[in-house]
Amino acid sequence: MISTTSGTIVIENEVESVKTKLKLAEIDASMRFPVIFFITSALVWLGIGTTFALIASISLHASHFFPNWEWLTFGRVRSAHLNAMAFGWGNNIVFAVAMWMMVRLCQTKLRFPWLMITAGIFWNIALIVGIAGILLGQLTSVEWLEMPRYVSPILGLSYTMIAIWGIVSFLYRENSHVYVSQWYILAALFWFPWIYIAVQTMVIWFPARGTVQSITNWWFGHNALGLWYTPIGVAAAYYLIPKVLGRPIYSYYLSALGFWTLALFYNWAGVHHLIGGPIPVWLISSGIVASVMMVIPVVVTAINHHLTVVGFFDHVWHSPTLRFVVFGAMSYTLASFLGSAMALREVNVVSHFTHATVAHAHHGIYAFFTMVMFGSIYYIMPRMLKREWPSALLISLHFWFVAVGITLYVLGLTIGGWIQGLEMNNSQIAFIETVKHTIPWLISRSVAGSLMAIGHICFFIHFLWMFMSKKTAGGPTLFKRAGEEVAVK
Amino acid sequence: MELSPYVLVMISLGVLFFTSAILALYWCTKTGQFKDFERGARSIFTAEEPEGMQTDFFPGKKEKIKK
Repeated sequence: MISTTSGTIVIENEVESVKTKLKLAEIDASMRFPVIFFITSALVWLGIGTTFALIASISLHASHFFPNWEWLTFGRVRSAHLNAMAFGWGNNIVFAVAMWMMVRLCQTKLRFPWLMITAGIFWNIALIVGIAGILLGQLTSVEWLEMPRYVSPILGLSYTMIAIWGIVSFLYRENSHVYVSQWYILAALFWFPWIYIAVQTMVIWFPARGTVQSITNWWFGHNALGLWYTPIGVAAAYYLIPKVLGRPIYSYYLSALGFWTLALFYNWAGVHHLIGGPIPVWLISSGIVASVMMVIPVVVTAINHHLTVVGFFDHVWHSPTLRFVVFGAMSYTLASFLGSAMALREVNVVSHFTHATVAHAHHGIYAFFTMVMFGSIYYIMPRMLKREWPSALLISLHFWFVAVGITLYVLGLTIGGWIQGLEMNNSQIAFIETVKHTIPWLISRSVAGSLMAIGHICFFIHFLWMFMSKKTAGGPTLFKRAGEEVAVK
Repeated sequence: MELSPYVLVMISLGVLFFTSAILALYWCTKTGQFKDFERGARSIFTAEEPEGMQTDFFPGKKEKIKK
């Protein structure tokens, strides 16, 4: 009798598993076209942004290296780089990864794909026009908002469409529990249109008077990183680390705490970009307090991610996704601590207006955000195309080139920027000398940037190769087949 | 004192923003998002990609780990 009962249970379990299996495969299949569309456009922008980055970087230490064309001058190329990376690579990849996680976590098929795709097409067209505008010299003088004002309504509108899509698909969820990644995604979808439309209104369309403009500008500039790219990067880490290891997150309680403290503190921190500026001191002080309070969500997230992986570090070497995501999660901790430190007046008096700020920006947006997004692509693509990545070697090359590249980048510019800051504060040193002394560090940046560019090229080749390779049923990253078990310690 | 129309707009937007945050927090507690953390942490696993199964490897490297 016992054997009969257990036999029935086994059969029932198998039926159940086949049901869910079809469902998850269906969910992935429903997202195939939009997700691949956004990942591909993100990678095209990554290529364009990398090219601009190298031109800008080399121009700083070899001013006659490039022909003397107006559109190739540093001011324009640097802004084109920022916008191509932030809004081209960053936003497209966020749309892909956030949408994929959202739909999977809601355990429902993708609804209204046309909304996503229409928004995506308009977003990319507006970006092309905007970046062409920057190169033609029609850029505004506001950092992070350089694109000419005529494209911003289209960007704002297509963005809002994507946010509406996210909220609508959340309403159709079939999973009663909202996972922490969904929290981050929903919040980011709500925050970004808010800050983007507010800053466009107050700085570009109906400019506020005086320093209110700069306050709004940096409120946006910092929140774009903190309330848009950061939540999505953290959400992806919260989903992928437990998912790849097959091990639940160390403490779900800490993840909820981390989310709400980030929501509470990050929004205030942007003013630390204006330390020493002609704005009310209480405003700066509140920005500094919030920047230091950011230590709480960062420590909470770091403990949580680290203790989930602890004891499983050998798996990090066996999984392309984990390798990138864990590198990103560690960089998040480090970059955030440095960021909190740089917000202190005593530190800021040296680091402000130097290359150390540039190093910090790349530490956050590349070593953390971009690395986590690379990891996500490695996880998503096999499930979209139902085939494996063709080459383990190309993945390793991609990882080592970008990991060594960004480490060199951050180290070089942080040290160089710090020396630059100390020298600028020393009235005995002529300004031109402080500029000349940065040249070796700028060269180190070009070298680091070239390494990262080589890594990107490996990735592009691999990505194209994957489309042309044959379908592989049930490879290492694809769904479990009957009787197949993987040993986990 | 002259009040710029911005102040009114900004205050109303700020009120709206914080109201939505408080509503979100209220909704969370009401629907039990802060209860049963154990279940929350496990909600990402399905029968297809269950708990205890590693789901990502370098291409062609899975066999080595199985040993």
